[in-house]
Amino acid sequence: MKIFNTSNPLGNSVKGLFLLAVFYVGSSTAVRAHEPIFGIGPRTIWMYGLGFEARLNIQSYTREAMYEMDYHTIFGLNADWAISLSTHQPLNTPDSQALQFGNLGISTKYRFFRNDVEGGVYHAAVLGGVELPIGDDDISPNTTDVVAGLSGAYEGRRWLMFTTGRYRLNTNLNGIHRGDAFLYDIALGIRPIQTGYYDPDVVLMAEFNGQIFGANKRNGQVLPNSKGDRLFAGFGAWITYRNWAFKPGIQLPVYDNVVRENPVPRFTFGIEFHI
Amino acid sequence: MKHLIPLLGIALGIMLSIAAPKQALAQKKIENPDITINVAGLACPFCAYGLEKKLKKLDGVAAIYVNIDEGQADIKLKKETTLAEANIKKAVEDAGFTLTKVTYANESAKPDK
Repeated sequence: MKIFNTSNPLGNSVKGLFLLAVFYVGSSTAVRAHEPIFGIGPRTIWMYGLGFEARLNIQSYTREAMYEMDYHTIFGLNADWAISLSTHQPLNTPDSQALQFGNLGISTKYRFFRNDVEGGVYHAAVLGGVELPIGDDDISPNTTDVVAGLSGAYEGRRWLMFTTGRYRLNTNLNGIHRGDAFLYDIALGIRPIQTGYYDPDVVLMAEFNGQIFGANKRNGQVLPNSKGDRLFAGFGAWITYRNWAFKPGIQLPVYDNVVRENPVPRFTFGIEFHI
Repeated sequence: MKHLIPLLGIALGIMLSIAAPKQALAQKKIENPDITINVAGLACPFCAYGLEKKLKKLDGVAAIYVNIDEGQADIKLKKETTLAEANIKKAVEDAGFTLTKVTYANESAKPDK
């Protein structure tokens, strides 16, 4: 099964690993808890709260779609500080008989500002994470990468607004110094019907998710066509019922000047459960 | 792709098994609550679940009713029990919200009566 359309100066294996890393980078440092579908926000979980999320992602680089699961676990050290473990699992890997998992993401989020108001909250958090190279080499880069960022939001009964910036510090892979990446998200949400606490709740989300990639280098020389930026528009919904959340979404490419591959629509469906 | 079907099957099974009892547990408003608290920061039901969890864990609490539109939670205590405001405040803060007001319906619910 061919997953990637391969023709680039970095070589097929590097490109495959890079694409998977990019695919994963948007979620690997996530500490999920009622956040934008494709981005991230400052929301944490209550003290000693535990949350699980499984997310199916579908995107197609060729005629055949690529299916991948993301798994996230979140734990609240206190009401404003959470840690998370994340990994991903391609469902149609080159070796489709093997059960393979990607690198392990360990991340944290500390909400350093919170202003609770009647029916809403203004809050901001600092984000940090590291990806450890303990996943299968076929589907994850054998590198340790670090992500840090800031996120702020207003969440009210009717309107919700999120903005986040993250910087991903990449390390060397097979003699290539991969360029760092800057990721940014802007999201706007609306709750069209304000239901009660014991009723299902729906929030519609519209997002812009941007990625800016630095150039890859080998022996200090910049590799051609290895940097650029791209922008996606995402649309989705939170459908929650008490401690369950269902999060479908679609992400469409808006702008792209990255030569190495063409961005394609991405579909996602997540199920989140808090205990 | 072969992993997809069992995964979705498991997810559906969990959803159905959890949703059914939760539906039956849909809360009714508490008649004559012993304590009513006002909470700032309540915006979404999913995030407020932690408030319910923390309040229910307090000693003496028999039932909770969260009114997210009013930013309030009603508390019904077990018979002949009391609940200190400090304990309520700690529970609300641990849930990630801010306690703004505590109203005791009667003095017998206060520990320092």
